[in-house]
Amino acid sequence: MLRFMTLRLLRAIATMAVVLVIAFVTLRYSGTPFERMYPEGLTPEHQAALEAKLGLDQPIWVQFQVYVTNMLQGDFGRSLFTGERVWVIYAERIGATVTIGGLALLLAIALGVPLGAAAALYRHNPLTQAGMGLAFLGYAVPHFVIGIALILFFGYYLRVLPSTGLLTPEHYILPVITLAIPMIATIARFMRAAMLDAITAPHVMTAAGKGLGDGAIARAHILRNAMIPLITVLGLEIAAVLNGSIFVEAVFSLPGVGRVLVGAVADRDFPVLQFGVLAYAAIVVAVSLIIDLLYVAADPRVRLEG
Amino acid sequence: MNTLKTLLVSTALAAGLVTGAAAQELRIAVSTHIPNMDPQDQTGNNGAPMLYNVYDTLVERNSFATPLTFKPGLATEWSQIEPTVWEFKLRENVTMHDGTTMDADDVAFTLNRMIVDKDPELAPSYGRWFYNFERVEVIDPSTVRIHTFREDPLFLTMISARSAGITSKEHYEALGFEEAALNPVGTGPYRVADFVSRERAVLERFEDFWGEPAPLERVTFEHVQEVASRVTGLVNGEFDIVTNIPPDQEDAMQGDGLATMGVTWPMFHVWIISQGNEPTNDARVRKALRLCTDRQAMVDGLWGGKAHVPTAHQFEEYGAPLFIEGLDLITFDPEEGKRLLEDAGYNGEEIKAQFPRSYYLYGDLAAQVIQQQWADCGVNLTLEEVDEINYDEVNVRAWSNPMYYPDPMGAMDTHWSSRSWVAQRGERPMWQPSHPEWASTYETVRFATDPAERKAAYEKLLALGEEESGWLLMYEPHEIYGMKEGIEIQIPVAQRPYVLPLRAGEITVAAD
Repeated sequence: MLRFMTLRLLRAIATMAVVLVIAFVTLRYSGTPFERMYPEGLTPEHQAALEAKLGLDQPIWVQFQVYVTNMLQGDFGRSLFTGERVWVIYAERIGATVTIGGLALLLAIALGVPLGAAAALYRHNPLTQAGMGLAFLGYAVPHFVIGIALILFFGYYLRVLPSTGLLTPEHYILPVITLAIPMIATIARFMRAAMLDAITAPHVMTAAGKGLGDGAIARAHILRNAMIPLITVLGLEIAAVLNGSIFVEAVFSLPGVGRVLVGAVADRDFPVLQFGVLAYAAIVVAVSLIIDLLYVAADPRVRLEG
Repeated sequence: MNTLKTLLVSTALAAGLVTGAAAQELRIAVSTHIPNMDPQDQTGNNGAPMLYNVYDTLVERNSFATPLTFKPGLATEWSQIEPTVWEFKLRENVTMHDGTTMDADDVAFTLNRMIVDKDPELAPSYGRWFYNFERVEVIDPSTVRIHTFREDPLFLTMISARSAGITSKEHYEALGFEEAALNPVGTGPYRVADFVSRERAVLERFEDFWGEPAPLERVTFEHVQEVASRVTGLVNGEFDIVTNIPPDQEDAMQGDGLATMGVTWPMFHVWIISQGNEPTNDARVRKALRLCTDRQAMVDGLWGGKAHVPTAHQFEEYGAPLFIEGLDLITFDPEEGKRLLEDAGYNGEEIKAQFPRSYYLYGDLAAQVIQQQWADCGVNLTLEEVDEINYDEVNVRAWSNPMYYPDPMGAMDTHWSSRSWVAQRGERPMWQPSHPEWASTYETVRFATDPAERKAAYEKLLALGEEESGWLLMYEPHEIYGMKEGIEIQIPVAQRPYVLPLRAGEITVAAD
């Protein structure tokens, strides 16, 4: 276990280092932030003064050295656009993203798992087939379309739910649903496929042959075997929450990190984007580590090896 | 008739209006927000609605008067003691939002960081307005002298721009530029209680304001990027005012308890036609492109007829004596355009247009319309939306020319001077006027002290501008404010576009 954890940690650090270098180099070579900073134009003299002030006139390896040195001291720099400390930008906004994302994920699990399971167990039932059809639709339609449609219906026409910000509990309803819909679809689809695989497995046939009841078979043999692919999907869905939050926060004007990332990409706000990419990579690495550990819990045959 | 002149708000209520200091809150949804609230750093349209209400200037403009007139602000008296020196007596006992008392050091600090220290962040303000300012000299705690390099007929116009808003020296020295700019301190009727960069600004009535108290207790400017979200937010009661609504969405805001206000801004959407790069370096080609552009068709098709087709690079908002009546320099004549193209030997060479990504409302649609119009003249226009303009090969770039102050130079000097980026960027800058009289005429408009002389020179400059043909004026855009019924607000003709006036006497809100 200790060897496994050590190796995985070293691998994670190496991954983060590679992400850092790639993010730094590609961002610096992707262009300058100044056209976005001054969309009405700026003189060459003004640009040169800004580059000097921000250290962007230095060779890239010098910039990298400065960045890493500062980063190791906990200083991730300031936004080129707003002058805010980068960690403050994220610290102030992560709460909204995690809350919306967490609620959406819970909702997706609560609806997606039973829907997928029912679709597998009662796969010839028109009701479950219709449910899966809807799930496919939810999977195919982008977040921003769902979001705008919900705003128009519940905000503009019915006037029953607010459409922007997070002032009250009601404000959470539309963004959470928007973010959850594609996840419900994904989870239901994977759950159904995993259950169908398990249903046709020889040991399930054997269990049925032994005369075990449907409920007991589903609980002891089908659901448990379906857990492994489901855990993988849930891990991927955490990344999907981050991706989805980018659109959902823009559509509902939510004060989250997704909106910060969108702005930083468009603006080439290097320090903000670098931190965002690193944090994103760290989350994905951590989630994959957690998934590995969950595999063991779900299936004892999986060994913890490097 | 320019809608700005009519300033119609159909919601005036005779009874129940709150005009004095009372408990009122206004929630405003804006389409773009600002990174920080430093008055010299933020010069864009996005900062104008907020900065006006937070910062004061030494001299204030009478916001609704045409032509431009002035009134005391943070200075109670001023005089031009020499051609290049102005002396200001500062108002006593003005408390700033950080609790300090405004004095000459604050004035000198605020302006000198831009005009003496030439802080790179403040370069746009310096280059656009204050390049003729030399320094601010402190005579005593309540007296400053401002020195200019040359005598400046626009001195009071510049010093009353919000970019000359005064902030606190102590505040900036304690926090440094970045943090101080995120925690703004002015002297205006509203203080900033909460500011989240590019998301939200909460203004509260400043109880120690030196003038008439603010009419509203609290104003929130919330960034709501999507038009649909802003419109919905108004309709279902989340916001009291929503801004930057395109004309085609006006109908969505018609309903009980709602009102709309249309504004045609004194601002041109412009295409710069490069004088540097081939084939538009030939004046005949540039003239032809202008002649082949049907602006009225764009106004009708894109703006529902509500935008304004310009007649020359000038605005009625100057008022007398500087506005030139009856001037019409813009023609749609594709046949003459074709003739000029043939004369220039143009033979379908690519004319490359590049645009900043999604910056100008309807800019992408207008580009497609013009592409078709020019194609009818045989012009091969290619359109490209880019993050970074390649100035060494571009022929056309989208731009806007807001009237930053009501004067012929208010949209000319701030965009088309020899100091502007347009005259400096790239190996072959897009704007390099070559007429032998251009520079001297320009100097007269900018620095002559006799208004009649300036007006005559501007008329001549516009004629020379036709020869240069470096700009293609498209239209003055039209936008809609949606608001709750009972809000009465007027667009201030003497201020720059997008200012939202919330000071005493400038807005009334019907009591709930």
